[in-house]
Amino acid sequence: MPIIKFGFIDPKYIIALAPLPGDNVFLPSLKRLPHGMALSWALAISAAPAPAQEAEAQFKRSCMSCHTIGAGKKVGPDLKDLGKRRPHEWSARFITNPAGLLDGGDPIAATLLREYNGVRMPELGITPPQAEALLKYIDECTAKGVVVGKAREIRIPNVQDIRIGRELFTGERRLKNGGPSCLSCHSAQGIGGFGGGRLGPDLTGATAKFGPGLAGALETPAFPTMQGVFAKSPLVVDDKNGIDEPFWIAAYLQSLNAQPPAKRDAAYPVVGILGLAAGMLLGGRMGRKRLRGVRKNLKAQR
Amino acid sequence: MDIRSQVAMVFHLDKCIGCHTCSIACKNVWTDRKGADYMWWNNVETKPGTGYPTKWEDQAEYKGGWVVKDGQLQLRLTGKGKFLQKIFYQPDLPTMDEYYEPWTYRYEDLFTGPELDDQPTAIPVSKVTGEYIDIEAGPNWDDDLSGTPLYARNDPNLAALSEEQRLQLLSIETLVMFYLPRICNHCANPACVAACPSGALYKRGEDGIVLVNQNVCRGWRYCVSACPYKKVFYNWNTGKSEKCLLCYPRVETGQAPACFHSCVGRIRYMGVLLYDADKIEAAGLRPDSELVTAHRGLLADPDDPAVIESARKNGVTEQVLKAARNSPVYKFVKDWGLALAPHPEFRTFPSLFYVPALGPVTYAVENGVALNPSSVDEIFAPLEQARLPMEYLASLFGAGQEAPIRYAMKKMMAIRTFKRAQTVGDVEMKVALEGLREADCTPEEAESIYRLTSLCTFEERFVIPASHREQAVEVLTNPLEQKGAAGFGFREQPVRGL
Repeated sequence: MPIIKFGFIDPKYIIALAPLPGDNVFLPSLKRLPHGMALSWALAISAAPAPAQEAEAQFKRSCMSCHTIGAGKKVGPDLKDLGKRRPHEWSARFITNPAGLLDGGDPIAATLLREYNGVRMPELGITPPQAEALLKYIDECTAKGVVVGKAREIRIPNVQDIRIGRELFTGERRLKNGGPSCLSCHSAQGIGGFGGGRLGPDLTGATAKFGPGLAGALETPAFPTMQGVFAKSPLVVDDKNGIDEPFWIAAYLQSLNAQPPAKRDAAYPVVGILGLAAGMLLGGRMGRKRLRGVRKNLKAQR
Repeated sequence: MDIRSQVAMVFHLDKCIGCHTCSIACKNVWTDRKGADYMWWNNVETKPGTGYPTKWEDQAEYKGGWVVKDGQLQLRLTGKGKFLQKIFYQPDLPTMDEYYEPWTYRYEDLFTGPELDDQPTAIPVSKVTGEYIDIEAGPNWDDDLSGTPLYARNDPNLAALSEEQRLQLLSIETLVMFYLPRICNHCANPACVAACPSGALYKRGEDGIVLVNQNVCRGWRYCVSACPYKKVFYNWNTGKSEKCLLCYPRVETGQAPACFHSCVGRIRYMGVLLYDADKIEAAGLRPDSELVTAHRGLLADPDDPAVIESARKNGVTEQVLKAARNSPVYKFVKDWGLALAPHPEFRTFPSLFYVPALGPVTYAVENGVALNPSSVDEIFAPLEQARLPMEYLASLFGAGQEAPIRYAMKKMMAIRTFKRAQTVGDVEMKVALEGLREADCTPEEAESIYRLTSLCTFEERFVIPASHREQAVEVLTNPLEQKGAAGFGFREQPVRGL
């Protein structure tokens, strides 16, 4: 029964399976069901056997960069006693579709957004059954008194921290696990020869947005693009050897003036036009002995 | 000694009547395809004239051939450094204006045109744009000295002449011209092969025919510019270069190429030459004044046992060796010293040699009656007074040296006089024999030159051994495996544009 093996089922997959001849034992009446019903039914089947370990892994993957259970606030609220504070139905809706509630004028969501510096919970692509499992996991941890995650200690960064953070950001110092330096995708205050990378957002104002939770957000990033990039080479936190890469980088970002960088882009068109002119002059110089037509010159001479 | 065989050619210009039959035969066989319309692998030029493409001999414009620089033979066009400069754009290509814009006529107008007071006409339309074209140039636009102010007066060879000679050449009473049929020279040191960045051009081992591998050609067109004779052409439809292939399917079976076979003046000779490939570089480094001698020095005596041994070691078959001993080309070039390669100063060592054309027979006119000449001196004017100055022929065939031209001209004139003494009898035999002696020719040699020039049979003109393609190296191994080259061949027929 392949459908059970997949924790989550792509609707396309079901539609593709449905008309297969000889599959009458498996999902006997599927092909006669309308699309939506088939989907919800399939999701219900797949949700039931989702094991607890999977919810724990999911929590670590998607939630822990911003939340703890019983260890205090990070970027977002401590999730201990979540079931007591809010109805599960609301939490599930928020987890699966944060933007819907945040932009939909939900009063609780609006209050939370204000409380946490306007940092929006990102779209994590969590399905309703996964949300159910996560809430169940949070309840279990609350009941057993298990603490998941830790709020980072608040320490005032010194000059040394900021210097190392800057080196890590620009790539002058390699990240311990060999991950790419921040500068490859991000810019901050126009640092670097060409003002930094343009692939990711400008991080100049990141501290203002994420507050003290920034280091935590770097440690286990919840941003889908960064997750992929740092999956095999996460930033290193090693208390014994005094290594704390996320903290250093956060310290550097915090040290930056929160103003956006000065506009430097005017240089580009100027350099471009001058370069083009120089290139054309060079090309003309190198090709000055080219064949400029023979017969038409003879005609012109007459 | 590294003796190789070469299918070589002699064109006897004294017999060429400029009928263009060769060009038409070639065009119908090879270049009546789309994108090849403008190519004339064989063309006939009038000299003095600028030829096709216009002023092809002017290497200051076209950058073809080899030059000696720092004691080394180098391409004028390209080199390691120059190639990088030109890698994205090859700036020394002749344009359509230098060839000509191919055209046809709208013949259907003759049948479908509206009824008018006048006859309907088929207007000329460009084969490039399809629009009406006001034709102002063609591949033989300067034929028979037409358009002389624009063409004949700009012949690059006239640079060797004094201003007075130039005026004499073009004034109506002393006009002179001759025809120069041209095909690919299948050179011993081909600049096109050396210039190709893809390694698409090659000189065939068994007969020295220079070919473009269409599978490997990437359309760089360095061959077009590097060939000083402008005999490699770019096909605008396939995006590949093409050139005269000496009708190798015919040559392989012992037949003469189409242009040779169809020549009504029987001016063309084809035979095997053996040459020493080890000597090519040293010969190319000689100064201009020694190039004719150096070129003849490359050609090996087919009766010399050492030559035969080296040739056999290189896989030259007995049939080819036998043909080399009977080669009319070897006789014209080496034995008799009559045939000369065009523009030896390009240093490609052509395998095509020309017997220069004699000037017109002189005669006196008295009371409106033309009188026959009555002595040797009067049959032909002395070379110093020839209508076509020797300097002109020296520029065309002698790299500026008159000596080999004078030798050939003198010999031919002496033979003509000798035969006239024999058959017409209006010249004294004693004078004729004295003329032969002065021209370094015996009566026996004169007789054989006369026979091969005037009475030659088909088999005497074309001594072409059937080649053993079944033994060619390509059958056993892929020669391109050992050669730096680009490309994997055609996945579909090559076609450019929309």
